[in-house]
Amino acid sequence: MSDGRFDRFVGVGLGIDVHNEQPDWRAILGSDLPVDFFEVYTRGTLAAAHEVAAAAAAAGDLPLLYHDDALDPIRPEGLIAADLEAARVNMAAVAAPWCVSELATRRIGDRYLDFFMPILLTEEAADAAAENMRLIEAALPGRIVAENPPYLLPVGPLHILEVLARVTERAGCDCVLDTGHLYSFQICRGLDPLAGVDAFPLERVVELHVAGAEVEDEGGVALYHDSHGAAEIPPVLLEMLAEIAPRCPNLRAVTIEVEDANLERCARQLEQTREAVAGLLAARPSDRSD
Amino acid sequence: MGLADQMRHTEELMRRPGQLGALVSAGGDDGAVLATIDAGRLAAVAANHARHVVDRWWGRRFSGTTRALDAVARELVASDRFCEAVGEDVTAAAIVHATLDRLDADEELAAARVWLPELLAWEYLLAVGLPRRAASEAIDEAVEARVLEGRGSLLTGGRLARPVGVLSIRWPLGDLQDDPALEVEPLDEPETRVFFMAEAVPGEVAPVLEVGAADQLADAVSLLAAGASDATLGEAFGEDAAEAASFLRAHGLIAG
Repeated sequence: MSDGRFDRFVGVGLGIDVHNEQPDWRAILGSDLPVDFFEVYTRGTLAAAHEVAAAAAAAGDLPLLYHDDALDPIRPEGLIAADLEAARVNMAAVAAPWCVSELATRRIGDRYLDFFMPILLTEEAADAAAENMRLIEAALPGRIVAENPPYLLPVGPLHILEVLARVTERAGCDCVLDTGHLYSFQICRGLDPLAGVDAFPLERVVELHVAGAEVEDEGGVALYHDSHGAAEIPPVLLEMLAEIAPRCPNLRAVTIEVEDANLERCARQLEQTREAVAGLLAARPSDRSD
Repeated sequence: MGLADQMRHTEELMRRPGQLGALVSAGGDDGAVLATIDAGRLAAVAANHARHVVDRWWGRRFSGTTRALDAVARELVASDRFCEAVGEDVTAAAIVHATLDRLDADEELAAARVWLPELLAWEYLLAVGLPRRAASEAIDEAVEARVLEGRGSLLTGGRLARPVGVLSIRWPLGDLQDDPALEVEPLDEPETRVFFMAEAVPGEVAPVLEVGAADQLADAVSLLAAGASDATLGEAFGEDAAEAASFLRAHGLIAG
């Protein structure tokens, strides 16, 4: 299936939540910030995605990706039809070639969780997620792409990269590698930031994420808080990005998740991230502008 | 047993980290998976999680109650009542039931029994009962009945244009909300207060207004909720009826 303008490396874009006041995505569209695409987050609700799509089209036809955190693809009970339908409508509205879904859930049974429970690190969990990803892809107008979730408390014997590899293989889907989420896992296990990357099928990676974060000390235990635009990007994440990005032969997009950031922080994080992948940006075909 | 149970146990452990040993000891596939949890990390994550839930779910709406209970509030996430929460406890089912259960059962909280239920009811009216009714959002009737029992009521319908709360106040609730550790005396005389949402201004969230009221006003609100006419009010309250009706009309609370 063609990914349209994402058939090749597009560049560095911003993940924006249309429900957040910050950053003002309309102001970004009207600015001279070097943004190559938007990844639109909607939390499963309708209408807002249409608004972004219309504004993006009016602002020079900016390419859009879609990110849905309401699909809960790791639930062994299966998917929720209403959420799937919302994702279908939103994704169609933004004409995204793929929809990003983290391997995590906000529900246990019918109960809402106050935290995003990441996939358990077992083969059974990987199988259940793979089955759900197949069903999601069948229902969407484009591809589904699995993202590694953030961790505070890993449960299960496997490494998250082993689980992500199993899900993508069994579902036949590609993935997003979120450097901050990966780093959060490595902190939990006391591993190096890039542990497990060498053995991971990097040809599955179509998108990389970076975002602001803070590491809190709770009684001597380091807890990684994925703060997105509410914090600066830790230097280690930019180092991970610079190391991993050139090794992903099918990389199409690098997304900075900037919800809650002001324009000044967006500009700073764009500069830092573009510097980390400067080689890839420079290698883009000449019809693309930086 | 299997993945669904392992996920359920994981969620429970976030709220009740002390159960890890027992779950692991149970053995089987679930025990083997849960045995991979770092107990020290679990304790830290659970403590962090509890603070986060208290601050985010209840900190703004029930600031006095959560400050008054302090450590107890953080233990609420471990209670069975926590599982009765809808979303981020939007109907206050978890905090109301868990707080009142705990007050009933814990002798160390005996001193708070006289004033904390009133503070809880007041915060419920201001942050949940009235705003949710005004927005036509679901109310948990059992929660509302329990938190207001013997203290007041929340009235709608009849000739009332908007929901109106009535509460009998015996304690300086504003002072207790600001500092629950304050040693305060009860009011000399119980006060009746009525609560209602101000008329909405487009683009703004309407505040809840709280006014001291004569008993007749509270009774008039009850009669209006039952559909009483002006004549009925007059029969009930004589000359005071006109004053009550005038006040309620001035705030847009009487329909028709």
